[in-house]
Amino acid sequence: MADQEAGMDLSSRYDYSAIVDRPPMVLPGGARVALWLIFNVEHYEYLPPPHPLRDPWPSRPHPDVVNYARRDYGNRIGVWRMLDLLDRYALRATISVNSAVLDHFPAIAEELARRDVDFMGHGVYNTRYAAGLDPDAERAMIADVVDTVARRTGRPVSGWLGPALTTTPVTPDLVAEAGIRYLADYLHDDEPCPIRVRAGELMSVPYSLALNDSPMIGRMQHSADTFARLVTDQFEVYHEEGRVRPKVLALCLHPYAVNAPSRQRMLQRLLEHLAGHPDVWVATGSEIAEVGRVAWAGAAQSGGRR
Amino acid sequence: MTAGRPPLAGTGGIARNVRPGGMDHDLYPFSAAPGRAPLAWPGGARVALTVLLVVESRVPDPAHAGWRPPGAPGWLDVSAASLADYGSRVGYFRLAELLAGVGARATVPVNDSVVAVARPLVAHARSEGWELVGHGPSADHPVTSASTVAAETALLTGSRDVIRAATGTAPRGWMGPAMSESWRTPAVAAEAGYDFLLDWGNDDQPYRMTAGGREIVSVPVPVDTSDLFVLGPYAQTPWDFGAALRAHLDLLLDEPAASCMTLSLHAHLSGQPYLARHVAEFLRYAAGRDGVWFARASEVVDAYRSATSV
Repeated sequence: MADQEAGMDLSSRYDYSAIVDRPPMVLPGGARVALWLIFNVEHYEYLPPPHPLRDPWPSRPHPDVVNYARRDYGNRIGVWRMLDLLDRYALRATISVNSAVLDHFPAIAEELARRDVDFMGHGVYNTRYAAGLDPDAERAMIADVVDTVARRTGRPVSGWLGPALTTTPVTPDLVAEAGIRYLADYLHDDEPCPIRVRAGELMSVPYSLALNDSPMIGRMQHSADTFARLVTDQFEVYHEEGRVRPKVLALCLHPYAVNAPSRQRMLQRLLEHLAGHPDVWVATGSEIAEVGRVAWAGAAQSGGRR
Repeated sequence: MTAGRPPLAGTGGIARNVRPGGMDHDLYPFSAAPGRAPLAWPGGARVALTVLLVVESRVPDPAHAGWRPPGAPGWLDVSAASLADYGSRVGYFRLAELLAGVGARATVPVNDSVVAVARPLVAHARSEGWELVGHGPSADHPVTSASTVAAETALLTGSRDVIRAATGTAPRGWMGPAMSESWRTPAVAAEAGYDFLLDWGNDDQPYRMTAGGREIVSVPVPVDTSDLFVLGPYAQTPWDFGAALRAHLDLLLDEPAASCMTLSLHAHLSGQPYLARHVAEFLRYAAGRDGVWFARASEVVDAYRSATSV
């Protein structure tokens, strides 16, 4: 029955809620916009095992050297430019990590562990999907990610985003069971919202496929200027709306794309503008989830509709 | 040679192929733009501008969906399903505020499951005098020629009944889920009591279709004025879309014939902040131009019928 419900719609996971009917979130310092910076640190395998539902490298016979190398650039070069920006602007960010990166490249693990970031588990490899896993296999995969992050960085996994955005009908239950506090798979809102799970608690923190350099730049080849303008347009609307109702601006980035030479300065200017803005609260996914959790709990207590 | 049926090449006989004149279906006759009877809108308006605010639901599991295009994911896709829900939760209300700002009333094609669940949305539409349009169970249940007449009829009457139950009024318009149709849809729609269709983007003016012995008006929704076709693949920029809409309106205002411009905005797409601002710019631009009549689709249909009655 749970499978059936999950198949037809997502009503088993969240109730309908019109944003205009909720009390607004309150952000620290009276900020108008919560800026959620996510950097996806990933590993795509050179010769991944075949998958019954999806070809990890659909454009060419394997190995797809062109696209493999494109992604590999991210770990060799891109992520170090990313770390420079985090340091330069003292940014708190979420690292969405394929845990295999931490084993393959311990130097990356060490550098990440030294920064003020939270970790969002993103599967083991981006070429190995949650889709089609039975609950035991998915539970083991989540545990593998949690264990690897702990072992390599000493840190917990606070959030979860499906590897290549793949999930199963029970992913939210297993994520909550593993003690992970937020899930980024749902794109249904501008604010964090609760997700119904079998046991424990789980908040949705809204991710984005539009303010995301992988579809926009990686796939659609939009220019750096276009990407910057999309982000600033989004920010200006949230900033205006934030007088009354603060929302979350999720900037979803991949070092292989946005930290490439032709785009690094664009990102630097963007981060300087957004993160330096007086009305912006730069926060990790954990912090945003917590503000959201408090807002929903408060509304429930006071009987306010949410 | 038998009447109306020339022989095909290679079957022996006439060396030259001749196709029959007119359309390759029976729904409407060919109509060249020059030489049409003039159309007039109320108050001397030149362009009837209709804003469709489309609110969808999506099915996460492909096993529960209908026909999907080649290349669509064959695995559970919560991204698409949750993104559609952004429309009914957030995007609709953002666009509603923009439309209120220019005093325009929207026409709302809305999937059945949204009507059932998103009561504040339906209540808002009713209180604002906005018009709902039947749009099938979800965007993943397209109408196709593979279904039976009974199944297709159930889809169209289903939406009619869901909207009537929720608002007290049956919808006058039908827009196929993902603008899909079978070869029977105009007849099925007319039989179910719909009096206009929003699936055919082949003109700048409304026109009559005849199907199953009944008449139904087609209000054209071209690909160019649909956010989903233009921006869905993330191929064009929002500001280029906004500029294209202004150029579209400018040209229609410039041409001598009165016309209609129907904008299809999906709540989960144009309702996103980075897009909504460019939609807002276009709406403000349109509101500032002389000769623009912000009309709901049924108002356009009524004005068209009264201007062209024989």
